[in-house]
Amino acid sequence: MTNPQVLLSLPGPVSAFAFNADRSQVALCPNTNEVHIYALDAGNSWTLTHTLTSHTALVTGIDWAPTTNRLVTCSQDRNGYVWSLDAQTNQWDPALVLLRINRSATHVRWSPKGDKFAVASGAKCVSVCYFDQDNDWWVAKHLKKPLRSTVLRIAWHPNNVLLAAAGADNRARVLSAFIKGLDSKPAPSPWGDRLPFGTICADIGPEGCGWVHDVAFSPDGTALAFVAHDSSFYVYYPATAQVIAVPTTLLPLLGVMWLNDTEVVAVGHDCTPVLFVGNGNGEWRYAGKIDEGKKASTSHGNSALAKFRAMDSRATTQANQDTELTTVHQNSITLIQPYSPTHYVTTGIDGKIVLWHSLDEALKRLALA
Amino acid sequence: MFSRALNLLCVPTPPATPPASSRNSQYDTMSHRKVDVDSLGLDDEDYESAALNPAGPPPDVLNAVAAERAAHVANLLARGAVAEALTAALTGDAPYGTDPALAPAKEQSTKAVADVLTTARVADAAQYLPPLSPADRDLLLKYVYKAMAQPQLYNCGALLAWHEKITEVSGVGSIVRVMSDRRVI
Repeated sequence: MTNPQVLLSLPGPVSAFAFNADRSQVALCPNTNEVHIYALDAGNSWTLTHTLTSHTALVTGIDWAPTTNRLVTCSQDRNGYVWSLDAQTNQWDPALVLLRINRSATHVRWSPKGDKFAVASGAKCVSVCYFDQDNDWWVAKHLKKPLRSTVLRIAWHPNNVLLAAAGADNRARVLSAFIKGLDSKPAPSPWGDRLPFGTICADIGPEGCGWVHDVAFSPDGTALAFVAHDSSFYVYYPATAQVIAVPTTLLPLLGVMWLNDTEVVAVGHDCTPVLFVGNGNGEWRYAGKIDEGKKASTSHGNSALAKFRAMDSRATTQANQDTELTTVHQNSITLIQPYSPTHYVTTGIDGKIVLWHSLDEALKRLALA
Repeated sequence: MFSRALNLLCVPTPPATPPASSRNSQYDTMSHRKVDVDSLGLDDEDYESAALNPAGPPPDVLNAVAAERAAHVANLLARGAVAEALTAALTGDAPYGTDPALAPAKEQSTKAVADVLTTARVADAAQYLPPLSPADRDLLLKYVYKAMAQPQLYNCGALLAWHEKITEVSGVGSIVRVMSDRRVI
């Protein structure tokens, strides 16, 4: 397996995607109102198995709960659906969730235990949804209070109660999404002790920060990383209420993910994952681009095969590579997710779903430099 | 015959609603333009004003600081201490905000920076720029953009050369920060 490996290559952007628990299936939205589910078949290639068409506008968020095997999708049509697979008919049955929002939903995430999910929306609120057994219905509770603009992304804390919200009002927040009757009282953490629903555990607005594009809790839950439109990477430590800012020379970053307690991978408009390394004492630095881009090879440019290929695909007789980027991704990377303890997967506007090895030599060199 | 000519002059009105096939589907790309945004509810006016006018010293303090800074920079330039003049032009409270009372502070601060940049040789940028902190380089780029917005007052050719030198050190990230930072000079 080469690193990085392109798993799927769609003709258009992928607006949302999620793998199932054993990574044999992926649900994605090819920038339309449909959700396509691809499965890995015996020949190790991805084939389309299901098309879910309940939404009437762009699907902006998909998540697949590993424990319950349920899919949740949210869309610009202001609805969310929870899909359960009917084993006998092999069909995905939708259950409508009334999010009670009057603007588009932007992102959805199952909680770590898979018993509730949160939907970020342009209605300046986050809908935390759980299943009400008495009414056999998904109920939404709103987190509104400090949010002043669209919530772009959300992230759950490992304790299943705290929720981080990345807002377009230039602030990252940590709120409590504790549902009475569903959640048990969480263990005390640096984020707070008493955490009824809606408690504002942190409201972080560094000076000069732009729209916060993505948030992520560290694996042990003691820090929050976020990336913003001012091309900066931030880490917040609640124990000391300290924000570490790392301004970069890159274009803005759109997604962030922790590899471990000292390494964070971020993706963005530079079409390559980049690495940030912390020294364990609260100091973070930018370590470099993970995909430097292979140099354009001139030998290929003159072969007859390359000329005919160019004539076929681009109607040009020159096999130059000026229109292609040298990185694997050909356009901005918008989403990054963990795939396994050693791999992570990214996708973006170019429609490629790419699998990256997180322990490879190039990364190690960047981290130690 | 005259009435037929009049008929030709009358342009038929377009249909009031778009064809059914394009409504509520993935091809419906224009309906958001027909929404009357202003009637949907007020934006949070307090948030907008607070974001554009960061809490800082009042305008008269900023005006005084800017005047003092401009005098100090002129002094240093007259003595030929260009690097110190550059640092001095970027020190102290910058005139952030949209209050019209800040206009003298903005003019004087921008003029001070522009004077330093025209006095300093662009070829020597390699010794002037790295000692500055990243935040100071971002502030310098903000002043460069502010000065370039007034080509009748400042030499845009020199400013463009400085823009290139600053972005060589700070990358496109600093340009993005100038655009996205709500603290406007």
